Formats: sequence, structure tokens, C-alpha cells
Amino acid sequence: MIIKRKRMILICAAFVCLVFSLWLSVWQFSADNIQNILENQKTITYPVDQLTTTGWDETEFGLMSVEENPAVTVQGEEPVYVRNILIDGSVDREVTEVTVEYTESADEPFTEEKSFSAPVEIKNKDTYLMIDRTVAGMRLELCEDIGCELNLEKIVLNPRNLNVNYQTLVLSFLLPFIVVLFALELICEREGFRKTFSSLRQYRPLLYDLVTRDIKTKYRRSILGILWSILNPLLMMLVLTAVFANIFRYQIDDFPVYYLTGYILFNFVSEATTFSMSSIIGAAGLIKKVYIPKIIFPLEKCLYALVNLLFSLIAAVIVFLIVGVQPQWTMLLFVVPIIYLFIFNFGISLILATLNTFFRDVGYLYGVFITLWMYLTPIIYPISILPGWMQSIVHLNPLYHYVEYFRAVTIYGTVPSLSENLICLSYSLIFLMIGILVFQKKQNKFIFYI
Amino acid sequence: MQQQAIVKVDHVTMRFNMPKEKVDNMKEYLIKTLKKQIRFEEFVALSDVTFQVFRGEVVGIVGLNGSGKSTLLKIISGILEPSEGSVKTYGAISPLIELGAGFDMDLTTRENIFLNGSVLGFDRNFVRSKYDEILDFSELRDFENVAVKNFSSGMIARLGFAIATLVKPDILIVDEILSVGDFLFQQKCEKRINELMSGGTTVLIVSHAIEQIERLCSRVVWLEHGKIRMIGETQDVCDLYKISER
Repeated sequence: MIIKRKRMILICAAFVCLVFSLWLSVWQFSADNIQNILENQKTITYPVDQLTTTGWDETEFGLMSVEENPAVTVQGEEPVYVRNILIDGSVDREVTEVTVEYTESADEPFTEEKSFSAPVEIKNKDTYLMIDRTVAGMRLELCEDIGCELNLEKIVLNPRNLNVNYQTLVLSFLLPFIVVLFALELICEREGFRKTFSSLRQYRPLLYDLVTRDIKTKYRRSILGILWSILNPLLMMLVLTAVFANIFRYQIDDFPVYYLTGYILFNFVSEATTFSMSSIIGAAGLIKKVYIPKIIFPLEKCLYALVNLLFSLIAAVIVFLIVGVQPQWTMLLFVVPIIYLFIFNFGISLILATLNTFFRDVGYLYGVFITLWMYLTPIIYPISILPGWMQSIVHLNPLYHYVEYFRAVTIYGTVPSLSENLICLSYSLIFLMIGILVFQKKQNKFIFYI
Repeated sequence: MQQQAIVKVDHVTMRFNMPKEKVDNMKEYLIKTLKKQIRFEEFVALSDVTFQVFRGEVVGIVGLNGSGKSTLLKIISGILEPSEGSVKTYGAISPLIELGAGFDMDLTTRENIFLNGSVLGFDRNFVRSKYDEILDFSELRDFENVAVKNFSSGMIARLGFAIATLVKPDILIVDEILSVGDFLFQQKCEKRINELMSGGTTVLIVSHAIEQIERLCSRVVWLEHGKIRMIGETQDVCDLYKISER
């Protein structure tokens, strides 16, 4: 019954997921703005030169408070209803509430009786204050201490911009939808999946043998052998440090460490995916003559890349010691991003291996793509040098999150937030499930194309 | 006699799509799909084949070239999925479709024995325990640490056969491999197969050497153009087959 209604269920699931993701990414981030639009509230923008500031002094960075409770005053001609205001700028102190004194007509003075504290909400890096009353003027105490820095662009009453968080939009749609798709396939093709995965256990020695074979044949006839796995990233790091360290000396503290952490992770991805891509074609001799679960071959290449990564990590440890990075307990968490990344790699590898078996063009195309991908990932450069729109593109790059996660735990000594973890995990799971589905559907046809 | 089916071939049909022209790049594929120009010629390699093999039997499969013998063996050993119908097997299969499949030419004999053992799904410790036996059977003790790429085809065949028969599989599938190697090695292989058979292994053999089939098999399946022409006792089938060949 489920099989017959598969298409129906999928369409419904897509719809539900779309609504869910829109709700999560648009409504959650700009609920008040949507209400402003629906109720047709008047939007008024005050650029910084139309605002009166008291208790602030201008410095080269913006404004600095010289009195306690410095204020910014917004003065309109006539009273209007203000639901919320957008403060476009930044205060260097964290505030959760702002005291607002307000007037109901233009010539009324500000008094402490007509004041309330407005909650501060930060959505998508913008600061909002909830006002919810009819006012003519407002006096905002954005800071309490002396020495606060304020960088103000403008204040908007009843703003109408829709802040869509694209990352949330994409992930919160894809993840539940693919889970449904995957579950459906799993139910409908129970036998096929069982056949693929039940025998994997039996072939564990094969995995081991293939990985050792790859390592052995990689360094055949080289004198230093496996040492190259450690030397390679070290030498690369030396070259790039020589070239770039000077350019980014203001933005990056320890360039060798910054670069190496990004490089070894990126190398892990590029090795695992490019090797896996041709793994099915490379194993043609075996696939045509013996029954082996074909998923072994991409999995083996991913494991092989993982082994290479472990050697590169030794290089990283050496550099960490030389540069003198403070050891922190968070460094122990380095396995977490590697696990996420391994799952992600495996998913991508399955997709690429399948595609490449049918169309050899994919191999050439991917060579170009991986170069583009490398430049879209902040490995050599810090993300802060990019313009805003480029930054939001880079944020959609899954690899950015893995690299940042890895740097957070190893260099900066911070534990990434729950949402950062969710983003990484979602990307991994999405690609893993797509990969398994694609591979499973097509694997019986491989033999005719190799 | 114990009548327990160990291989059940149930209405198996195998169709191959033969594209009229080879399309293996994306541009052509996209254009052809949009124009709906991808045409396939269907080639039916097997049609509606049904038979059973019982435990301990030795079944020969005969037929002319292109009659679907190898396809059938590949389906039974799980390498190909049938287009229709199903195959059920009960027990471990050791396919000898081609000797030396899965050898890495750059690795040594020793490494290849372990690699090939795990390709066939054997446990590592098990291969280790049989290691000497394999070397002795294949007469390659002097070449233990030589890369396989330096071997002659006879040596590779010997090694492949030794590894594939190192376990007592429940089902042994042999596809015309007994024609490689010299006379002595062929005798040795036959002896090994006889040993396995007396140990209860079920064997499926494809061979063009009708004498070999007559010598080894208890039943014979005769395929013609993908259909079963005849199935029965060795002598009956072989006699008719020989007449038709003339």
C-alpha cells in the first residue's frame, strides 16, 4: 500500500517540509517585520545625521560614551505607532534590555515617568527593539557605562526587510524531506538494502586488505615511503606560509596553524572524493567476476583518505608544538568534526562514484569544481576579507562549517554551539542519505558500464 | 538420496539493453534524452529458465557459444541481477568465473593470497591457517615474495584455483577454467573437485569439453539460445547434445 502511494506521500512530505522550513527560516527571523507589512505600519528611516546623540563623543571608530547612560534620540514630527525598531549598527557591550523614554507629542520633554525597558532581540546579526506603542519621540539608552563604543548607521521604525536565513531554509527543508524519502525507500526496497548491508560485516577483512594495499602501492619505490604523508602537508605549509603569511599578518595570528588546519581537512575531502569517484571503474575486474557488495569500494577509498588524514594530523601536531599553541582540553574534540566530515565524504563519494560510472565527464568536471571549492573555503584567507555577499555564499558551503569547527576546537579553544553542530550534522546526514539512495538504485547497472 | 535444493533458479529472464550507439558523455545523454532518441535493442540472454540443484549434486551446463551459460553462472553467483525471476542459494558460494580475479599485479604472492581470500569473503585467520596448503597446491613456494605481475598465466591460474578451493564451499561454480594449465594441473584440479564433491559440495560446471562433463557430472542442463533445451541424466543429455553438434 505504501509502495503505491509513494509519490503521494512524497509530495505531501515536500509540502510539509517546505512550510516547516519557511516557518523556521522566515517567520522566526522576521515575524515582526511580516506583521508590520500585514498591518501596513508606516516605515520611517532615520540616518545617523538625523539622530541627536547626547553623552557620546566622536572617535575614529564611531561614537564613544563619555557620560553614564548616554542616549540616542529619535524625534519625529507627529506621533506614530511603532511596533519595533531596527538599530543598524553595533554596540561593543552585550545588552539584553534598553531603557526607552518616550513622548506622545513633538514638544513634550522626555521624563523618567514615561519610560520602559525594551527587550533586545538579535536576529540574523541585526538588533531589534520591541516598542509596541504610539510615540512621537524616543530616547534610547543603548549603553550604561562610560567607554562604550557605538557604531551607528541608521535607525528604522517598523522595518520591513525580510531576513531570510538561507542556511536554515535549505537545511530545514532538505533534512526532514530526505529522511522521509529515505525511510520510504527503505520500506519499499527492504530486500535490496538487506542484501547490500547484511554482508558488509563479512567483508570487513577485505576493507582492511584493500586499504593496506592502497597504502603499500602508493609509496612503492619511494625511499621515504609513508613519511611522505607527514612531509607533504608540512612542505605545502612552508610554501604557503612563505607566500601568504605576510599578506594576512593583521588578520591571522599564526598563519602556519591556520592554514594547516584548513589544508588537511580540505585534502581529506578532495582525496576521499576523487579516489572514490573512480573506485567502481577501478574495481571493474573484481565486480565482473566475484560478488562483492559494491559499496565496499567507495567506503574503502574514504577509509584510505582517513588514514592519510591521520598521518597529516601528526604533521599538524608537530607544527602546533613548534609554533607554541597553548594546549587546551577542547583539542580532544577534534575527532567530532572528523567524524562529521567522514560521513559527509562518504555521501559525496557515493554520488560521485555512481555518476562517474555512467558518465566519465564527471571526473573532468569535478577536477575543476574542486579547485573552485578550495577557493570558496577559507583555507588560505580569513573569511573577514570577503565582501558581505560573498560571505553568505561561503556560509552555504558545508566545508566552511567543518573547517571552522575544527579550528574552533584546536586553535581557538572554544566549543562550537549546538546550532553549529546541527548544521554540520545535517549536511553530513543529507549527503549520506542521498548517496546511499543513488548508489543503491543504480548499483546493479554498474556492471554494464565498466 | 537427500533431496534438498541448494540452488533454486526460478523463472529467470535476463535482458540486456544494447544501445544502438554508445552514449557515455553527459552532453549526448541530455540531448538524446530530450529528443527521446535513446533507443535500445533488447537482447535476451536468458528467458524463463527454471531448475533446481540439490545438495551434493554435480551439475554440468552445456550449450553452444552465446547460449547464456556464463550469464546464468553470473546470476547464480550474484554478480548480475536477473531482469525477472529470482535465484535463491543456500550456503557459501565460491565462484571460479575467472581465475585470478582480484589479484593486484603489484603485490606479492603472499599479499595476494590474503587479498584474494578476503575478496572471496574469508576470515583472515582462516586464510592464515590455510596459507601453506595454498602454496603447496599451487607449487609456488619458491615465489612467495615475488610480485604477481612477473608470473606466467599458468602460475596465476594455479594460485587462483588454490585460493578459491581452499574452503569447502557449499556451492562451487566453475566456468571453463579447467582448460587452463598443463595436463598435470588439469588432473590436479579435477582431483580437487572430486575431493570437494565427496565432501558434500555442490558443483556447477560450464565446459565445452563434453568428456569432462561426462566424467564429472551427475546431471546436465542444456541451454540453447537462452532457453533450457533439455535437462536430465548426464548420459541422456550428452548423447543428444553430441548428435546435435554434428
